[in-house]
Amino acid sequence: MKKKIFKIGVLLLIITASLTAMVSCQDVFDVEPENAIDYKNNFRDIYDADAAVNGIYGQLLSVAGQYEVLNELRADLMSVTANADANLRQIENHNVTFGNPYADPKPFYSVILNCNDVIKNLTIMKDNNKITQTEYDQRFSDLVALRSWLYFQLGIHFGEIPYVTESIENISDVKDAAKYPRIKLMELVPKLIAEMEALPYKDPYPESSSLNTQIDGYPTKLIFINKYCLLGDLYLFNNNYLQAASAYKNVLETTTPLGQGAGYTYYNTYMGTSGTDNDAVSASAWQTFLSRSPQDREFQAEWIWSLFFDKNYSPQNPFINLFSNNGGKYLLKPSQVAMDNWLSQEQTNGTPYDYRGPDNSYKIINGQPVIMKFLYNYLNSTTGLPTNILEKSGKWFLYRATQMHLRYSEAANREGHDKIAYALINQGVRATYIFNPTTTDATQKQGTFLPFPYDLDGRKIDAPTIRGKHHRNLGIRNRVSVKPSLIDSAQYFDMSQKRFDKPVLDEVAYTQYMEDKIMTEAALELAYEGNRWQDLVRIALRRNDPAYLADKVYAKLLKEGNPEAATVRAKLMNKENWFLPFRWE
Amino acid sequence: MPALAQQDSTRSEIGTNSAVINQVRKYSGLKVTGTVTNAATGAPLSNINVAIPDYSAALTDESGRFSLDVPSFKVTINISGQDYQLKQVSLQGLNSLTVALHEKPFRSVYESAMLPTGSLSKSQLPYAITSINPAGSWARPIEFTDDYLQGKVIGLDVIRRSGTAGQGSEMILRGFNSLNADNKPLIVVDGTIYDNNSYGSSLISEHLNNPLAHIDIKDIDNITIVKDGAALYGTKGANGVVLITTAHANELATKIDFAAYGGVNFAPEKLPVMNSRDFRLYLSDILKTSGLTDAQIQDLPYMNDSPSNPEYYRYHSETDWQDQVLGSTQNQNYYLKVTGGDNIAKYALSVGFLERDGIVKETSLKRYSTRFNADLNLSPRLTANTSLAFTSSEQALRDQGLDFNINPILASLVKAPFLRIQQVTNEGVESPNLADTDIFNHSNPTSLISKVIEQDQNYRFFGSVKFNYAVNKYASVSSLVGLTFDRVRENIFIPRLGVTPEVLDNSIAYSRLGNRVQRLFSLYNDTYFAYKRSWTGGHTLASSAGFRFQNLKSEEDRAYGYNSPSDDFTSVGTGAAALRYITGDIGKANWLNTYLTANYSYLSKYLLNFNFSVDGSSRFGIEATNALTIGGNKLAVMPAIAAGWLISSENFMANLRVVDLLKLRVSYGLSGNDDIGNYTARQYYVSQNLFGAQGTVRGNIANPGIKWETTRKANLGLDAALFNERLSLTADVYKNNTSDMLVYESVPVATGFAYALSNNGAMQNQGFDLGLFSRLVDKVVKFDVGLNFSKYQNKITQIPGDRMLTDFAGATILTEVGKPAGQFYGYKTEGIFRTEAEADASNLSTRLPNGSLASFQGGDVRFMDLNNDQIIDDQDRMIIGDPNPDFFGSLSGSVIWRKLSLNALFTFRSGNDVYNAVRANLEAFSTTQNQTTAALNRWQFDGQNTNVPRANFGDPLGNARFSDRWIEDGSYIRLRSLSVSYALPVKTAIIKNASVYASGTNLFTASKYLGFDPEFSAAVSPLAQGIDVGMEPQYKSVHLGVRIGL
Repeated sequence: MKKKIFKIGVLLLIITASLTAMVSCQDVFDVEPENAIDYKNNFRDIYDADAAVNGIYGQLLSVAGQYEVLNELRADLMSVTANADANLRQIENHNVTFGNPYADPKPFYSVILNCNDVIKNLTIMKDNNKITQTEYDQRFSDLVALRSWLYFQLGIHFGEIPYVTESIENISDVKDAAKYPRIKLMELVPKLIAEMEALPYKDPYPESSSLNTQIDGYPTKLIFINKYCLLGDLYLFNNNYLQAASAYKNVLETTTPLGQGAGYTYYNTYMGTSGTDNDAVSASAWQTFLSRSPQDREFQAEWIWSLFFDKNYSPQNPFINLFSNNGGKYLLKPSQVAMDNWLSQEQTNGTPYDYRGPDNSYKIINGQPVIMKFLYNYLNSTTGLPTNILEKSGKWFLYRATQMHLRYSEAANREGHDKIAYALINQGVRATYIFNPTTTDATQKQGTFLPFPYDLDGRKIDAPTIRGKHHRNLGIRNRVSVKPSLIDSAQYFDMSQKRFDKPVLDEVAYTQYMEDKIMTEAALELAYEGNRWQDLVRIALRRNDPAYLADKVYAKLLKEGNPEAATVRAKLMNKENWFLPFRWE
Repeated sequence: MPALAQQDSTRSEIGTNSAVINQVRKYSGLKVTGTVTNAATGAPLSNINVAIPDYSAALTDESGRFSLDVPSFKVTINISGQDYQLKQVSLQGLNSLTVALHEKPFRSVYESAMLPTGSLSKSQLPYAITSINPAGSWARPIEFTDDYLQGKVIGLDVIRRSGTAGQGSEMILRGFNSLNADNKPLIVVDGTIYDNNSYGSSLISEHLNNPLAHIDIKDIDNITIVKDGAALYGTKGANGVVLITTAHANELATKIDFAAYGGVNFAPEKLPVMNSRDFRLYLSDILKTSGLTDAQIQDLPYMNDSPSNPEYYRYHSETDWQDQVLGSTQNQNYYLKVTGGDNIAKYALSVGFLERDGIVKETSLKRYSTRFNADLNLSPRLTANTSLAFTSSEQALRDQGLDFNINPILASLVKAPFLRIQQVTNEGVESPNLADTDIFNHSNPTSLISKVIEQDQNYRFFGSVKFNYAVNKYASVSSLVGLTFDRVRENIFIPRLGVTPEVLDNSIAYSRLGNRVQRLFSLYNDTYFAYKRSWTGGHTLASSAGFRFQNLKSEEDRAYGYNSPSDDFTSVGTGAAALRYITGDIGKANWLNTYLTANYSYLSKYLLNFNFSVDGSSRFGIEATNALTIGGNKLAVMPAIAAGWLISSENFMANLRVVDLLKLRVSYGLSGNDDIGNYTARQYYVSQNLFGAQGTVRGNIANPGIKWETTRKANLGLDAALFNERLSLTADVYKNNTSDMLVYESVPVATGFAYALSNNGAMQNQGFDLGLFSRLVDKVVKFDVGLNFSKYQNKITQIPGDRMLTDFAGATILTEVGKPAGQFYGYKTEGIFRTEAEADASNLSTRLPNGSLASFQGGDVRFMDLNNDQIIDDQDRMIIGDPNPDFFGSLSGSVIWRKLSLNALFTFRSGNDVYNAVRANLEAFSTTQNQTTAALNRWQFDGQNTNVPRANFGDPLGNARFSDRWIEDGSYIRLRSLSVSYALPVKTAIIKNASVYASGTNLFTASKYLGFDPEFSAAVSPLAQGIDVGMEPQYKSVHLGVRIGL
């Protein structure tokens, strides 16, 4: 009997021991996913870090359609077509109700979440020497900048937003209200400026970076955000004109370190040229900025930040559905105001419309005005028909050279350098500064001869040979052979004075007058590139004049016979109504 | 049909612990005497076994008398004979007994149930348990296990998913316990957990690979359904447990059973759709509303009735497309089983072949099955049992579901009847080639039948080996190792000819190809120590303690291809390279369940049962709350207790001879559901492409606190048997509360995610089960009737936000606290506007997609404006239907007369609403699809007295929106099976017995449902109940068969 009890005891002991062993052995219950990457297995080396950055930019593409709708349809250059659904109409009529998918910040926050997550893990990787300090600085700065851009967008459209900069990892983070501090637009901007200023690395990824590569024929250098552009936008929004001008000037100087030996790249990059290897005006080049391959140097000299939609990869190009009446749903079209803007201009040869409008920014296809800017890789520019109705490649335009010129002009104008604004809008640095009454020295002409950031050198002199960095700058209007936008001198200057630099009668009015000109030019040059609403909000806030914005929107609706026009205007006279409603909780 | 009880005391231990060591007892000197008779004839029975287990035994003599040593006059005596039922009789203080036994088959309250701890008479269990002995199911040979259980188990709602052979059934035991986790009961076959999940989704729409179809019903000895004692299986037992025991050899003599069956399936009754003439009138109506002028309509080729029209022959046929798709087909089944062995080894080998054709032409299931079960006595102390099965199936299938282009049934309903099957020349000469898609861009249903290839080839190896070592006469140690290896291979080819192309993101798919492989590997171990003992004083204890470990690995790989060069190229590799894509999934999980179970009884009348399990799983988060923590792992603790009192065994019942059994049961326990996703607790990253490069992004918000769902089950039951079991009854009331229910919880938008999984839900089920059985006539003719009746009330008691709307197949489903799951939430209608004036007077309008208002007109549906704002919109929705049944169950009857027996089973379900999504399309009157004949009564002129709305192209006013127009009563009663068997009077040296069978399934269905059949299931989720998405309907079939015993 004792023997048996002993046996039972041994057996029980074995069972108990094996059980305890199994339970206490962590590995039994620590099963890592194989259909996804477990946290533990991610962020091990530079390739993981790069994959994380690529993932974020891949995800960023999914906000393109919403970005376009919010930034253009809310403003004055774009209207809905008869095909548009109630949601788009709400955006246009500024009577958005809860649940409108265009007014859902979630896609932006999805990218922000990943930025926060990767930023956190990059820091851990750097601390564990899995990536170098340089590799860290570059990626960290890129992602903070992208996050700031997203927040700036959210701020502009939603007014007061949760500002999350920590990674949300698990459900207890979700429930921690302290992780979602709400912040208003006017406090957000200085915060973003401070973060951006503190970035350790503000230049684009260097050529040698593992992130700077080609994916399926797309040069990745174009897809990463330009930090100086964003910094400039933030300063400008915050009315820090000198800093804004400096930031924009830094963008224009991107290729300066390469020196004149870099030739085309040095002289053309972001200079506002016709894309040619000389300073000749070539109006027809303008459309090719939109249509040509991102591999082309002409494309790269014009576009600072551009993403791409490829027919073979998701997400699908949202612009086809929004704009095209062939193969798309044709939901949005140019507003009558926008079209009239172009039609009221005159080309240098007397042709009575702005070259950038008909057949370029938009085109009449089957009797319908179609916004063409995004469709040149889809529709044939002559016939307006798709090459292949289902192959929806395209581009998403974000930052562009002339946009920097206009914003730089805006800052310069506010700093009293209205002539710079005039030069960049109209006929370029060289032509505008060709006359310098204070000197006869030829080398002292064709440039501003001002300290940074207003030092624009447009000289093209053969004896001695001088080729200023900006000598190919044609001026935005001149580049497309449109007559200059002249100044009503009699109204703003004391014409009774005989001197060359006639005094301005009313500084404030004149500054606004020039600013209006810049805005008008922006409408002609940059329409539908996602800037308009931001521009209107910025100017209206700066002038503390809601009517500036309200009237522009009103004018658009009025011209289209929208019965809501007056209601919308009245609504927009209250700044609070510039922002979209959303239930954050 | 009564279950055919087979409870030989020798067999009952097989498959569990067959190591039994004989013992010698000292007798008390007390004796009981009595007689045993045949209950029907009153004749005395000899050679009947009378025994007190582990104490004494005796046989009756010629006159049915016996004398047995008993330890006291309080004990319970087991009485059984080879052809007779088992009966347990309490002495109730008396020293003599008269017992009348029923001849088998008889549905007795003493039938044994097969539990993990061994076989036990139901009367000795304090749980709500149903035990079924299919006994070969010779009369219903081609049923699949889950389908077979329909109507057999009180409280088990079995809903066959479709008429497709092998597709199986949803088995919902006592209502739903979970919204997002599994609601299927746990299946355990021969002690090993049988993985009954279908991983990933099929390439063939609405197809589901049903692992239960691998088990041949004729191999099953016993099915025991445990409804409330499920703590036994810890976090896998919340939905109840179905324990399946497959056949082992009962006797040493070699026994061969051969059976062959053949049968016919009958095509279902057609749905009434319009003929050519009516359809043409409808077309001209609908086209007019699309904006075409009369002249334009007249110019359409199918409107020109002149035979000189070159298109005349193309558009002037009268084709019954349903005939092209549905047809009567055949079944066959062959089965051979050999059992036998010697003292050392016993074996049961079976092989089977089954072919079941579907009523959709060209569809079929072929199954080849083998099973080898052996029981080995390796040494006096060591025994082993094996249970090995390998099954391979091939299914030829067609798409189902709400796709009118590729589901052949639906395509046949909407195809214009004036079109031809084959191509035709202008002169009217028909070509043998099938016609391509038509002028309306509809598929040719015949092409979907004859040119589409959709196959599912799968096999499963499921085997286990179990060793038992007897430590002493009471204690033993057992260890079982089970292995599941399963592979499903699907390939599909949808040709370009005759099939409407599918528009993809970046191209048009003219032909579609696909390949999918699903693998499952599972390793299972159950090791335990068992202790069983009966004490002379009347105490018995059966207990075991051990652990179960399961390692599960599933993998799914799928490849899609499009546009192969021609319809002769049917494999994925031939698809256009740019459009090919591959995807897949891998899942892994480990589960460890340690358990203790103890069954104690005193004098076989006071029963106490205790189950206790502690579960760990790789799925549980490391921060789960209210959990036992060992080594940093969170473990679920699940206790359960049950008590039973056999009132009928008390001495004071001795005078109430009419009462055979009166038992009160009560149980309360916890069980869990671990179907919470393999990696919910972990933070992980998923792939995000940047053009063709792969980057990573966050895949989830991890919930390290994620845990099992807990279901608390309380049950109160009563079992009774009266008049020598001529009348028996079992009744249960129960209440199941699920807490920590898995929900998708909305998270603030600033997290970047919409939802996170959490345990913030709760649900409740309370119900009532009643089973009645009576042997009405017990003479030469025996006539039995049975009734199973179940009713439950489901209620959501907690979800985040208290209310949630989900969409499924065009239906909107409301989930709201305080209401049952799965409510149909839509618009209520009040007929139609018969006149324009009526419509104007109502001043009702609806919002168009562009936000503007459109007024209803004459012939439009009159929706109820609940909020009285004159606008019919989302705010005017209400609950318009409830898919949960008021009650369900079955009625069974059997007649046995000498060698002839007849069994009938009626199943019924009542009060469940059905959303007829097929009819919502067939009576939308908004497209050029053919419609049902209801269209003949459509509103066509002002003042027309009809309830059928007008035809309106595109349905801008939403007449066909999700409303009570499409909600129907899904109640039905059906003659589910009827079988007759006759044992031929042959007995030769070679042929030991022979029987012939005739049976029919679904012979008769009474229902008001307007679709093909009211029984279907699109998904097991409580949020997808009662939605008819166009599955293959149930159909009638008739079989004849013969069984020969050698």
